[in-house]
Amino acid sequence: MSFHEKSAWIMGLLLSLTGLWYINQVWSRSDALGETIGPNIVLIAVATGMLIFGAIISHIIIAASNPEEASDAEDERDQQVLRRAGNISGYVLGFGIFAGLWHYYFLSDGNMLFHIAVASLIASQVAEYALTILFYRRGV
Amino acid sequence: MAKRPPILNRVKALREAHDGMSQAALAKEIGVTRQTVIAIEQGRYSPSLESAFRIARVFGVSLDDVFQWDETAEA
Repeated sequence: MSFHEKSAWIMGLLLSLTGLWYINQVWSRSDALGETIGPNIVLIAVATGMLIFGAIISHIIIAASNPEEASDAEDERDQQVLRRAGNISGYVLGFGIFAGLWHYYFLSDGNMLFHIAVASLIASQVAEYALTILFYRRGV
Repeated sequence: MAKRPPILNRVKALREAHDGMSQAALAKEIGVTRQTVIAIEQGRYSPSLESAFRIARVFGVSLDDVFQWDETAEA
């Protein structure tokens, strides 16, 4: 398994866990408040901090386990895999934002629009990691 | 779902015939990662034209001796 694929596994897992934690926090706080909570910078900062910390630690571990491959530059196959995964994940983001805008149009809930946009960003990034793994394993 | 490219290759056979050249050594020669050489040998990836020529040059053979169109794979 290449360094890029290992990285995609780890980042996909970390981002999924962080995303689920964030959505759970927004859901439970909104439930307690009786309406959608507003953008919470502390919540986002904690989620980002958790993600960065996890990413640094895990990448140090996988780089130490195989330093030679960790220093490999992206080759033509890596670039093709990453470009294709990034392209398709862009549709996930677009769909999420589009859904959020229509939700806002009908319900005028700006807070929900914010959370849908954040969730769409997370979903598209998770999709990109999942597609990266798929293309590495099944071919581009 | 990614489709397997309809191209057969003799990279593994040529590598083994070339004093058992390692995948890592071939990867270094053509400027790709070892995983890409593995993917080429397993038919999961078709290299760029430039890399295909580089592989042929490493083994001192023509492109046709390394890569062949898989007639059976055509729909």
